[in-house]
Amino acid sequence: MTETKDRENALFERMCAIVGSGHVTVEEFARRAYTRAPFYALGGGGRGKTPGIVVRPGTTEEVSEIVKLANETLTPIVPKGGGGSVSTFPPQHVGGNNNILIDTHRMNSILDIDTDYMTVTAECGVILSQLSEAVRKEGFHIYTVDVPIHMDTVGGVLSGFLGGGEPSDMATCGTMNDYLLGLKLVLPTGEVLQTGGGPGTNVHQKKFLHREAGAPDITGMFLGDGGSFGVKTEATFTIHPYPQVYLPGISDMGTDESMWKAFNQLVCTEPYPYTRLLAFREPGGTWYFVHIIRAHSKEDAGLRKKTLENIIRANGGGPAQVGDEVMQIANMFSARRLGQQTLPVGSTMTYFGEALIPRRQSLEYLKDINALLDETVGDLDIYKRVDFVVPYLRATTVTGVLLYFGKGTTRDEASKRMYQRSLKRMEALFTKKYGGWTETCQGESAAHSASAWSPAYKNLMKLLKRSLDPNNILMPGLWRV
Amino acid sequence: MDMNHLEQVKANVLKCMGCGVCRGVWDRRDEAMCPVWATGIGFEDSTPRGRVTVAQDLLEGHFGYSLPLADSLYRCTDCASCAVTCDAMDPETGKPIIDVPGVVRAMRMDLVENSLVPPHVRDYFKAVYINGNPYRISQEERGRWAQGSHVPAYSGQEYLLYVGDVGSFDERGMHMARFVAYALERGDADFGILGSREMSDGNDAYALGESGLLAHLAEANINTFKKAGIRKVISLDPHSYNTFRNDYPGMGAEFESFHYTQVLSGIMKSGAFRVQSYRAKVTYHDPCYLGRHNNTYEAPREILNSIPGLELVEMKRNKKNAFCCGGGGGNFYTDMLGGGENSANRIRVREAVETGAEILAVACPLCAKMLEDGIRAEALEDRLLVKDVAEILIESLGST
Repeated sequence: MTETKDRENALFERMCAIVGSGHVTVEEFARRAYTRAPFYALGGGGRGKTPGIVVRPGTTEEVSEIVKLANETLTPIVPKGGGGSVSTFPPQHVGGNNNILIDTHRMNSILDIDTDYMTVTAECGVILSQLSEAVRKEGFHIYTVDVPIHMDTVGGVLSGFLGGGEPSDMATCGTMNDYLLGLKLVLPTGEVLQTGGGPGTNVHQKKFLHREAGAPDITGMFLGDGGSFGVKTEATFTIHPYPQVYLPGISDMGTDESMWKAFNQLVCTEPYPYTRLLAFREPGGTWYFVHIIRAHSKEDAGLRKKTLENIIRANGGGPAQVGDEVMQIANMFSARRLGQQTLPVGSTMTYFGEALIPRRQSLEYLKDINALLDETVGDLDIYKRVDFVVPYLRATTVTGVLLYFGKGTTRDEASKRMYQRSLKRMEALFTKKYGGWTETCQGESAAHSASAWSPAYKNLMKLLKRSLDPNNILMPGLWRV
Repeated sequence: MDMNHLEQVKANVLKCMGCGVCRGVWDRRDEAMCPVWATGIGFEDSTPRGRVTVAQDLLEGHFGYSLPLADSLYRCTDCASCAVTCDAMDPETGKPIIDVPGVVRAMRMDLVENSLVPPHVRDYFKAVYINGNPYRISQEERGRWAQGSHVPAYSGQEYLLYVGDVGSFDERGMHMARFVAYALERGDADFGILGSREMSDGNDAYALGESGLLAHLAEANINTFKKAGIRKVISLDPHSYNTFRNDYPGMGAEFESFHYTQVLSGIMKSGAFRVQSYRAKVTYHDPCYLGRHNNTYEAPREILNSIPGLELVEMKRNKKNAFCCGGGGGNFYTDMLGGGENSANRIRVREAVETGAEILAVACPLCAKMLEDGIRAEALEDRLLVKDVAEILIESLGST
């Protein structure tokens, strides 16, 4: 660390005293590295905001000290997890100059796996694949996001991306936050709070109960907050016995009409005859279902499979006889939902034009987004284009277009074009017509989502923010309200 | 500030979409593949994605090269794990679009040209320039490892056994060199050594960004090989094998290059070795310069699997997913990555112990040394022993 840099940032010495000099940097090359996120130029037209100082705390107590110091010096804080946000982070409009970026990577311990109560408690810098693997070794399963499981942190995914992301089995399990029991976090004043029924609401109780036990569900307030209500440092989740039976399949569903009838019937069936379901097609081509059944017994899996096949058959579908090209896509989607980063050779994935859609509007959205993409990037070298619809429980779908750009288009070129020509129209499409971005709570997207808040909701959010964060320290301006 | 080398890979740099998969893990494993990231010592710039980001920022003029940046860039061990975890594939080749190790090397070459190298790296270059090796030992000592053996000097044999710096000067490497030479001898291979006429191969100098030093060493070695009429070279060290195979041909070399495990595997298949029972549970560590850099995974395994009684068990990360020992990219000499509980060699040793193996087989003298250090640091001397593939082979022949 150079002496010049030390002088440039008055916080440096005090930060070093809190976390140790090896965990603080004001070097420009290091600070700027934190402004990088997937899809480079999408969302904000470029990189995120460069922090003034980066600090890597190792404990909740250190985070608390950092937050107190920030309050004392009135320096904004941006907490950052794995850097997997597809929406520019930190947003350019957040945090003033020379803000403090808290890199949570050092807080990466899995603190407890309770196989009796079936819970896991982890620090919020733990990467989700690590959490998933640790639990699996004990014979259990945790619903974590699929993409990008290898880089998202617990804290990051709970703060952004639906406040819990898209687990592999989101068609039947919902998001990760449905399995969250409680959080330990540092409030914007530096005070440490434990939430959740049990240790959070009853000092005599050490085991986590349901989030509502003993008090309103305060935990939920911190989910999808973009890090602006507190810095998450520990989280406790429920875990489940690992399902041993795995039955994958692919069905040919033909036209829009037959696919859509079967899709709606499947989604409304109780119990779910699948664990994962997705529909996809190449433009103008036939629709396919990829369906995966995970169960604890062959009998259970068999019953589900029978129901699934009956519904598919009744709507004109049947087992798919597919070539390599379709299998490549099916495998890629299955792999994606399994959390593997497998992509078809010959492609350079650039864009998921996906959004959370009310289920009945899914096909209409596909028409809209395809028309928009035709107009804005249709002339670029596109290797492959795939429409997809994935149910998110019953009422909602994640629907989108997967664009694989070929070698004739660089990622940079594609990203710039997407930003320059598509973004504003997507904002209108997502926010005004269909209800929200997939990345609703992430970085730059938070402001787009907040633009649709009702006056009453906006006032409540302002009130909450002022009460929790009187000095406006954490992610100031995130929602632009 | 001069950034000619980075400019040359600019198109490559700009293709990165920044997904960050390279900083994470592979194939649902639960640990980071990048040894720098795995140590937990670094900020984002220490990750593969961070390095490409730094390259972009340099090219866009946001900052220039500096010594603190050099410290960060020289932590990379050139293990190429980021190249196998990269999520972006070239439509034509199916290979990763972003050659992160190549980008890092380009930046290191610029650092060298701008005289911005950390002291440990500078000392390495200086030692090799002055002495022909990084150990600062007289070249006359190069053949000392073979003293007292029957290893012949090269005089027109089919193969040259090129031993390299670690095999020539480090006690652990010399131990390995003797076993490899003895195994070749037992397999009736026709080979000789150059002794003091051998020069450093230049692989690690190049990895550290000194292309001029590589050119200088390559010229000396190529001339020596040509004068001696050498057509086939067996390398003890995968680092040598890597540069002989990938760099020397562009500088006028006309010899065939082999790693010793490839030659011994061929001899094994011919039936020339009369292997006996060898009761041991063994796990094999893939060296990065043999595996990911040169796609050679089977030859060492074929040798081990041909030994009756030997149970070969794989570590959870193996072959192209093998975790680096930390000794690549010049870090063996410079130790820019540093130690600590989660240093690469200690992580790798813990993985080896998880298999239940009592022997950790290696095929690289640098890996041997790094992993033995890791075993000592983990206090696992009573549970795990590092042995070279040739050493295991010799022991299975019933005589050392």
